[in-house]
Amino acid sequence: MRRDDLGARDDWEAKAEAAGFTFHHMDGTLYWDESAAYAFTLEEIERELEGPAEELHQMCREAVAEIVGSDELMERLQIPEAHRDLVAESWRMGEPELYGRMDFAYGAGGPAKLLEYNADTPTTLYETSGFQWHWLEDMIAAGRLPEGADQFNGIHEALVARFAELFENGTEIHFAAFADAVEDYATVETLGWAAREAGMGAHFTDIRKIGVSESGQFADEEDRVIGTLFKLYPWEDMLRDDFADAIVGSGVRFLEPAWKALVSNKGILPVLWRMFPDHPNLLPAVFADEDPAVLGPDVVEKPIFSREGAGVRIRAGDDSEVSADTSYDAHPRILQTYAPLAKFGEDRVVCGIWMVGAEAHGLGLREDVSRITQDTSRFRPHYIEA
Amino acid sequence: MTDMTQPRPRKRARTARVVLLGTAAFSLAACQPEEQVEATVFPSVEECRALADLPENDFTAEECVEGYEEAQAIHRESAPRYEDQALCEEQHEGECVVEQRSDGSSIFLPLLAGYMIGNMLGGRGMASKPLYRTSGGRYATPGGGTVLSGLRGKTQVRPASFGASPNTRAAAPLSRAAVQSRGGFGASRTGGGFGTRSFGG
Repeated sequence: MRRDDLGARDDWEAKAEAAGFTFHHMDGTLYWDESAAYAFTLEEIERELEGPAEELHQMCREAVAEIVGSDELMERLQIPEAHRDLVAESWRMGEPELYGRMDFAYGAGGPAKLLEYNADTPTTLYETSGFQWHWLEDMIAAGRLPEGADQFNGIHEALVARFAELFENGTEIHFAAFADAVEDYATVETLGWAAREAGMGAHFTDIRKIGVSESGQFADEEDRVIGTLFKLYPWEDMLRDDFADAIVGSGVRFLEPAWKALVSNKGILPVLWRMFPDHPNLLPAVFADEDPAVLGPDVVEKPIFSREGAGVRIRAGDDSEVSADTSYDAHPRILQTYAPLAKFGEDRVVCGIWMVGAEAHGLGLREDVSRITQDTSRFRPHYIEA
Repeated sequence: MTDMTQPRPRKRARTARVVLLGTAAFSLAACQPEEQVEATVFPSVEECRALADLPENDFTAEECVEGYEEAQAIHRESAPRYEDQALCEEQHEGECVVEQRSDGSSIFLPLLAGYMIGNMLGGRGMASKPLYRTSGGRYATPGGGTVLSGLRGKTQVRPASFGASPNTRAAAPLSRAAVQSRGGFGASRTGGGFGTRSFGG
């Protein structure tokens, strides 16, 4: 893995605008940054990222089976008592998963280390599966990368195939997000395209405009009954909302299924370490009230529910850093051994492996001068060497 | 040694033709194109009659009166009915009137804010619906199935907008719990209730 200063396409910004990718800058700073790109060998992709991610996904499924059978663990993961059956039942019924993204520290030598699994509401899907794909096609067409260059990015095709596998042709699927969060909206729109390509109907509704009918069904903002709902909104929040009690009776099929509340929860990291100690792709992790001796001197503290790096604290000598965002601080925390991110120039990079179903199908990289990757961290494209 | 050049398995998709269109994307591409019917909206029967003779309008003064009477008849059967006055006034941003039920209880109805008329599909003649002011400052048919931004002018609505309205005369009046049946998701309580932050990462 290395970073190449390939230089950006002259017309990249016009292409982004034409594609509807309007958030290539965020808060005035560059978000999509193709001035440099990461180069991987096929071996690195397949053996060191793709393979481990698929194995870790299976390990997470085993951990879920463990957690749903344990009141102690359900409590540690802060699943509200009233809704533990809902979560456990979704697992027992074998409700299928659609997608997720595992974030790895990789590239500084040694095996990829799982930082966390954003298994419920990952975003940056369009940048990864769409705009990054077009970047490579353009770079090859312009002769700036060789004909045989490739990319770990079968996400779009895999999503189409997954929708077709999960639902009967013509199934109406609602996609819910906060309409005013552009990057969230882009992610559900990208999924909506894949669903339509798979022969499904796709409808958008703002999550805040969902209603409950007298018969207990959920309805969208135009009063259409919701049968299948993809929600870009975390299960841990769903289960604490006023409508939480209506979920069971609504008969809705949810994407992601409720058991993903356990996988996207950082409380799964100490559970994985208990079940698979010394696994090469895991970092030692414990709940904050447990003995931290196993972690070594350099430790990261994470709230079990945080998103976008909020509430993360690194205690590692000169590498120490604390997230300014304290909005998740009221929640229990886990401790994880600090794994330094690979550094290229002044930038530190996180490798996000995208899962579709139980298979790994793509890679997106985020870069930041901070040790804590956040929502404004720059996105960089990658390619696989010919 | 001759090396068979094995085509390496491709790691990227053959296509990824996704264009982000914003909020229009789902409604444009996903929904069945539904036939629309034209509706004309009035705050009063007088205003309707005053406009009936204009050449661009295809309704008559008689239809204004018939439409108004039909809207009132629907209002009697289908107006939203509330168990208390404050709730009714809050939901409709305005005056509500009391109605006595045969069991002696009092329930509350909003006033008619206006009505809309339109030609039903298939030549089934003129239809009418009452409109009520909503708490968001818009105007809704009984049951809230169609919501309009104003009380004057022409608009396109779904044919179902002129379909049957729920009968509320004998039904249990709406309580606070019943009217809050929307907006129960999205409080984002684990993140301290942030409104529009991204949920991704």
